[in-house]
Amino acid sequence: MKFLCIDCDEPMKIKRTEGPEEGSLTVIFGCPICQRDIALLTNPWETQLLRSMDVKVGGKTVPAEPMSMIRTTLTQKHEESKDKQTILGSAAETQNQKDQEFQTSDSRPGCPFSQIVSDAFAHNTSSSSKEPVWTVEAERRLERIPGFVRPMVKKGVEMYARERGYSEINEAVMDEAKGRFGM
Amino acid sequence: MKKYRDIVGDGGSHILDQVGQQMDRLKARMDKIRHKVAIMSGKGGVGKSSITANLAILLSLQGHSVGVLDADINGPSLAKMMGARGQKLKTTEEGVQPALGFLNIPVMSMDLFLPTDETPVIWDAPTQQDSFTWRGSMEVTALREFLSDTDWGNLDFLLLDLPPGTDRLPNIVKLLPDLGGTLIVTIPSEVSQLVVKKSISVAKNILKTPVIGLVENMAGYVCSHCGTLGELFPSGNVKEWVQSLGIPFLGKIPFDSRISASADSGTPFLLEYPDSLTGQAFREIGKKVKEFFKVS
Ligand SMILES: Nc1ncnc2c1ncn2[C@@H]1O[C@H](COP(=O)(O)OP(=O)(O)O)[C@@H](O)[C@H]1O
Ligand SMILES: [Mg+2]
Ligand SMILES: [Zn+2]
Repeated sequence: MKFLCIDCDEPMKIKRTEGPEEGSLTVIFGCPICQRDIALLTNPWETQLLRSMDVKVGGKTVPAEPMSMIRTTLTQKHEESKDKQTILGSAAETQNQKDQEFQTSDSRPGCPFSQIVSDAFAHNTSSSSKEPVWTVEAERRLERIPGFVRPMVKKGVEMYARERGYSEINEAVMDEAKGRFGM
Repeated sequence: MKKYRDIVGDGGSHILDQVGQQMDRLKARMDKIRHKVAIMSGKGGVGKSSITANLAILLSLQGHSVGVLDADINGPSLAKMMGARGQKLKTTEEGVQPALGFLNIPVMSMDLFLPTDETPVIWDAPTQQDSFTWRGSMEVTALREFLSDTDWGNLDFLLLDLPPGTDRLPNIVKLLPDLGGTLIVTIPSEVSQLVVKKSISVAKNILKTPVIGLVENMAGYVCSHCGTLGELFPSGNVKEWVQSLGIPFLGKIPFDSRISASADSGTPFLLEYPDSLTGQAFREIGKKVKEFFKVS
C-alpha cells in the first residue's frame, strides 16, 4: 500500500506508528512537501497479516532475533507493549516508547504458554533482565552506522553495557562506549 | 497524478526488502546443507516420523552429518523420538542452537516449545477464530524460521518430517527450491494407495520436485517365534504398482512392535536392533536413498 498526496503529487512517508490496540495499528503518513498528515488504521486482519509474515511497519531497525515470530506469537494473550514490539519497527516513532519494556516472551502471569516458550530458550535470551535494551534513539543511531561495521559496533556496545550492568542502551551509553572503543 | 508503479518504495517500511532479507538469510543457511530430503505421506500414522528418525540414525551411523527438522508443526514428535525432548534452546551469534538427539544429531521441532505432548500449537491472534484462519501463514513463517534461524552448520543431509497430506508440500518447495527429493511413506491398504497416488502426482507433476521413491511401512510382520517375515495384509504387487506410477519402490519395512516399543522406551530402534530383519530393511532403504543422491 502506498499513499500519494494528490495536491503535491508526492508520495507520502511514514512518520510514526501507534498500537496495535485491540488489533488495530495506526500508521501516520505525512507529505514531505505540504506537511499534511493522514492516518492509516489497520483492521485486525491486516495487523495479523504483518505479524504472520514477521515484518514491521516502519521498517526493522536492528536485525531480527532468530525465530522471532515463534517466540513472540506462540502464546495465548499478549500485552499491548508486546504487540508494539512485534509489529512496529521504530524507524517511525512509536508512542509510549519509554515505558515499552523490551521483553521476549517472558513471565506474564496467567499465561502458561508464554512461560514455556521462553523456557524453551535458555537464559541468554529469555531473561530480559540480563540483556541490555536498545532505546529507539540509540537504535536509530546504530542504523546510521555503515552496514558492514554495524554488527561489530552493536556487539561492542552491548558487551560494554553488559559489563557495566546497564539495562538500557541509550545514546549516552553509546557515547561512553564510543570513547572506550575509539569509534 | 502518479500511479502505484511511479512511486518507489512503500513510504518507509520496506516490507519487500524485509521479506527479501528473510529469504536471503534462509538461502545462506541452506547453502551449507548438501541434500534436503522431505519425508511425506498421504495420511497420518503411517510411520513417517519413525522412518525419518531411523533414517537419520542410519545415515549418521554410516558417517554422514545429518540434521532433522520436524516440519509437522501441529503434530510434532521428532524431539521425543530423537531423545531431545525437554532440551533448552540457546541462541548464539550463529542463530538458535538446535537440540541434540541421539548420536548428537541436531533436531529442531515444535515439541521443543511445548510443555506437554498434549499441548496444541496455538498462535496468538485477535480471536480464537482468527488463530485458525492464520494458521497456515503462521506455519510457513515458523517453518522458515526453523530452517533459517537454526544453526545447522554444514550437513550432508537435512531430513524434513512433513505433516500428513500434500497441502504443505508447495510451501516446502517454495522455501527450499533446491529440495533434493521426497520420500513417500505408505502402508499396505487400498485407501492409502489412492492417497499415495495423489501425493506422487502433486510432487512429480504439479510441483516437479524430485521423488526418491516409495517406502511401504508395516508391510508384513516379523514373527516373534521364528524371526521370519509374515504377511499382515495381502499387499498385492506393490513394487509393480509403484513403478507403474513412474517412481522407484524403495522397499518394505515390516510391522515390528519393537519400533513403537523403542519409541516409548526412548532408544531408537536402529541403535538397539541394527541387525534385525527390520534393521536390514532400513539399511536397504538407506542404501537406495544414498544411491539417489550418488553418495557412498
Ligand atoms: N514398522 C512399524 N512397526 C510397528 N510400529 C510402527 C512401525 N512404524 C511406525 N510404527 C508406530 O506407529 C505409530 C505411528 O508412527 P509415526 O512415525 O508417529 O507416524 P506418522 O509420523 O506418519 O504419523 C507410532 O506409534 C510408531 O511407533
Ligand atoms: Mg509424525
Ligand atoms: Zn502534499
